[in-house]
Parts: sequence; C-alpha cells; structure tokens
Amino acid sequence: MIQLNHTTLLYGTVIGVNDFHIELPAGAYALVGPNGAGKSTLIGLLTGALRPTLGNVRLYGVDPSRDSTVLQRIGLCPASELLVHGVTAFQWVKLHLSLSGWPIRRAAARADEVLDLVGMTEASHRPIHTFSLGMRQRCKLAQALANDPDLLILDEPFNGLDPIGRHDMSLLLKQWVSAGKSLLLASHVLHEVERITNSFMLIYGGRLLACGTSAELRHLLAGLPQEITIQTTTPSELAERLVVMPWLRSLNRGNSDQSLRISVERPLELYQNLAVWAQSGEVDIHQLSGSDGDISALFHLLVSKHRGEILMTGVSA
Amino acid sequence: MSQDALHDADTLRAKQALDRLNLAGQRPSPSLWNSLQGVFSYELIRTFTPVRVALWLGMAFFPALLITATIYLTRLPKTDDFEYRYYLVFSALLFILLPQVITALCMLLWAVPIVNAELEGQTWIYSVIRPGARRSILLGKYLVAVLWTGSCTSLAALLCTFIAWFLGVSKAFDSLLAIVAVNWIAAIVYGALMITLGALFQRRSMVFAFAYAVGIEGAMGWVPAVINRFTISYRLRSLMMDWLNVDLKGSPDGVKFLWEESMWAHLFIMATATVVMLALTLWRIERSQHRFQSEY
Repeated sequence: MIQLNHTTLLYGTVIGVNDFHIELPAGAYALVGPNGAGKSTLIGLLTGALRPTLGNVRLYGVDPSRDSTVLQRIGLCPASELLVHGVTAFQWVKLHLSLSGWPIRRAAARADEVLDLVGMTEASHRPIHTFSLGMRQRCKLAQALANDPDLLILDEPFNGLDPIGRHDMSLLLKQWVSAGKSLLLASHVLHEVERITNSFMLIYGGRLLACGTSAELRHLLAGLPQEITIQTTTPSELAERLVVMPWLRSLNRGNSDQSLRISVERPLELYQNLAVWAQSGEVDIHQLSGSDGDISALFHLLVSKHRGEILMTGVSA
Repeated sequence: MSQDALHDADTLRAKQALDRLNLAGQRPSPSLWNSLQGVFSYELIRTFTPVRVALWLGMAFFPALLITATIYLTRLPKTDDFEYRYYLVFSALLFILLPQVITALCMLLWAVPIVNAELEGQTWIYSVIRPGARRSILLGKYLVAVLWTGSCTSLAALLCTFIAWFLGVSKAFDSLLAIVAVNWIAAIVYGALMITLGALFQRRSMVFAFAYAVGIEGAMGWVPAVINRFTISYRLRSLMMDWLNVDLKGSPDGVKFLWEESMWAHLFIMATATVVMLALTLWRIERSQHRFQSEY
C-alpha cells in the first residue's frame, strides 16, 4: 500500500522527513510522535502535496505527486484548523465530493449521508465558522469519508472532541478497520491510538524510530533501560546488593521508606538477580512495578536514545 | 441496559452507518466538468454574504454618483458640438471608472487572493489532494470573479447611462452597448492577469497586484508612447473608441494614446494574453508545494 524508499524532504535547510524507509501493506497503522516530529510532513508526502527532496514515495504502486488519480483512493483529514467563512458544512462537504468527480445532485445526497454518519445532521446547514472545534473535526472527518476511500489518513483526529465524540470516533475507526479498510492515524496521544490499532510507527525528528506491533515493541523494550519501583521490607539490604551491579544507572528512595526507585540498563539481569536474592531470603520483595506496559515508555526511551542521552547495546530500532 | 449492551449497540450503529456509505467500488471517476460546477456553485454561494452583496452594490452605485456629480456640477458652454462633447466626456469618465477602476478593484478583491485565501483559510490542503482539483479551483474561482465583476460594472454602466440621459446627455444610450462589452472583456482579461499575479506571488499577492494595477495599467497605460501597447488599458481604450466611432487619428497624440491596429487585432491579442496567463497560473499552482501545518 505505502512505500517510502529512503525518502527525505527538506524545507530549505530544515529537515522535514529524514531518510524514511518503510513498506506497509494494507492495514491500520498509528503514526506516533510528538509535535514537530514530521507526521504531517510525512502525510504531505503520501498525499502528493509535497514532493520528496531525495528518495521516492509510492502509494498503491504509483507516485502520488505525478499520478494524482491514485488520490481518489485516499481520504484525508488534516490536523490544521478549518477556517472557512459563510459556508455551511453541507456546502463544504458537497464541494469536496464535486472535486472528487461527483455530479452535483448525487454529491448533495451523499453529503447529507456522510454528515449524518458523523452526527452532524442537525448542524449541517449551519455556517462552519460558528462550529465548535469538535464539530469542525467531525466536518473534516465527513469530508474524508465521503468518497469511500480505501485508505483513510487522519492527522490528530481526536483533537477538540469531547469524551462522547472520542468514543464515537474510536468506534467508527474500529469498524472502519474491521471492514478491511486501511487507516493511517497520526497522533501524539498514544493511548487513543492503542484502542484502534496494534501497529505503530514511532517517529521523531523526521526519522522512524521503531515500527511494529505493541508486542514487538514491548519485546524491544525488554532490552532497553527501564525505571522500576520495588516495594520491600529490606530496602537497605537490597540497595547494598544493587549498587555494585554494573547495569544499575541510578537508585533513589521511593515515596515511602519501604520502596526503592531504580533505573537499570539491562532489566532482565535485574529480574534474574531479584529472583535469586528473594529465594535465598536475603531480601524481601513485595511488589515490582515498571512502565513496560505502556508504549509511551518505549517512545520516551527511543527518543532519549535518538537524542544520544542513552547508550544502548543490542537494541535495534 | 448494561454498559456492554450499550457498547454493542454503538458498535452496531457505527457498522451500519459505514455499510450505508460503502460504494462497493462504484466511486466516480475524476471529472473536470463536475468539479468545475461544484467550485463555481460553491464560490457563487460565497458571494451572497451581506458584506459582499453590499460591496457589489457599492461598486455599482459609486460611478453613478460620481457621474451625476460631474455632469451636474460642470456646465459646458452651449456651442454647436455641445452634445457631442458632453457625450465624449461622459464616455471617457465611464471608461476610466468602469473597465479601469471598478474592474481592477473587484479583481483585487476576488481574483488576486485565489491561492492566498486558501492558504490562510487552511483549505488548500483539502483541495490539492483531489485529482485535478487545482485546475477546477482556479477556473471556478476565475469564472465567479468574472461574473461578479462583469455584472457589477454592467449594472454600473446602466445606472450611469440612465442618469446621464436624465441629466441631458441625450446620446448617452449610444455608448451603453460598447461600454458593457468593454466591461466584460476587461473582467475577462484583468481577471486572468490578477489571478496570475495572485498565483505567482502567493504570499504578498495583494501588494504586487495593487502595484501592478497602479504602476503599469494606471500610469504606464496612459503614457503617450509605444510602451503603452503592452498594457490591457491601451487595448481596451482602443476598442472602446473604435466601437464608439470616435476618430482621434487626426490628432497627433491620439495615435499614441489610442489604436492603430484593427478591432480584431486588439481582441486577438487580449484573448491570447488571457489564455497564456491562465495557462501560466495553472502551471504555477500545479507545482505549488506548501508546508503542512499542524495546529496541535
């Protein structure tokens, strides 16, 4: 579905996307990264609105900046705010259907249907500039869905939505994916995208940090430095044993007297040693807690690695 | 109802809604005609806001007020050619006001911001990801700009003519057809010119277009030298004089100010210029790339 072959895009001397090399079959993917990571630029490349400085982009086998007919298969909901005056949601969605080739009458009927789908029936004949942020998001989504695309590209679709809107959006996108349609969901909020897809691309500074399912990424996490909190009745004894270990990065007292917060470079070795010490009765451990269940931990670690704050061995992103 | 049941009901509703939207591969093919109609009707609707209607009326009534004041306040001596001279003054005023000032102002409002307004409204990205949409947007906006301007200047011409006739310029209606035709030609050619300037200078389009309108069309177009032939103003002026049967060829400066070529030559040059400018604009906007902005 998507192929990026060593794609680089420069805005003058600023790097938008840096040597992106990936091939994605049809499916649902989350593009996760902080603000300014290059998500929107990557979407610009995929939609042919931007042309790469180096490398190339293929969407369904063709270059979208040269053969625009492939764009009929895409629905895009950009992150930018919708600032149109004196136009109703219905008129705006109808315009975009016309631009996709729909005859005016059929476009009008279709615009009604799609606005109904996103829960905008009652407001469809109100001017867009009177809408709340959430209503504008729905309007943008309606426009993206209107032509029944094969690939839906959503850039920060949850922004501005209230909890009910978020719930409805999640359900809709889940259904979209389960109907066999493809989805590329760009967001900087991980927990929202985790509800919809299990395939992630982590991006930072225009570079792809890691790519895979959450299980694959967690496996990656096992080899990465981690912060772990240990609840113990023998904190001093445990601390004595830990401080001599070469893989220990830092050791602090936790929130209570009976807890230690540690940072380790090779967590697997810590777990092995803890098991031995606990079995021998030298230390007493009540609870271990880390952040390895959260993709965001991995993300932050990968970003730290990218910035050169962490030196790692045996980990490939 | 339990939470699970509610969730299932929501899921089912979402599924049914998506099923309804499924086109099963029957997606329409890109069509320039359909997209052009869509853009034209959309842009036309946007002209009917209270502010824009007020502007349209203001532009149409302003020349009539000025012509009323001019005719009413100036009293030409009642010589033999009194009526003819009044007619010439009236026609010259109409020409300066309508195809020059009002058309240029209308086009500054409508044609120049063609790309800039889309960029500021952050709507450009929605359009550029549709196949062929850049073309439809350009042509649709251009047609609406021509219609808005042409209708405005035509109404203005009708009002001015009626007022002039009412105030004693008995030949006023003789020039109506000519001035209306020149107005529409001016809208077509100036529209193409302003759209081109708007597409070439996307960030400072209004500044460049205003400078061009004043410096080239306003000043250079009236210089009594061959250089004025490079302006639209010269071509329109020559056409108008031709259609009004005003012969200034005998006057030494008349030749430089006005026409030497035939009416068809002027029409051909302006038609060619319009096509070339629109093609240049299309070429420019097809190649435009804009940084994707993320608000969040």
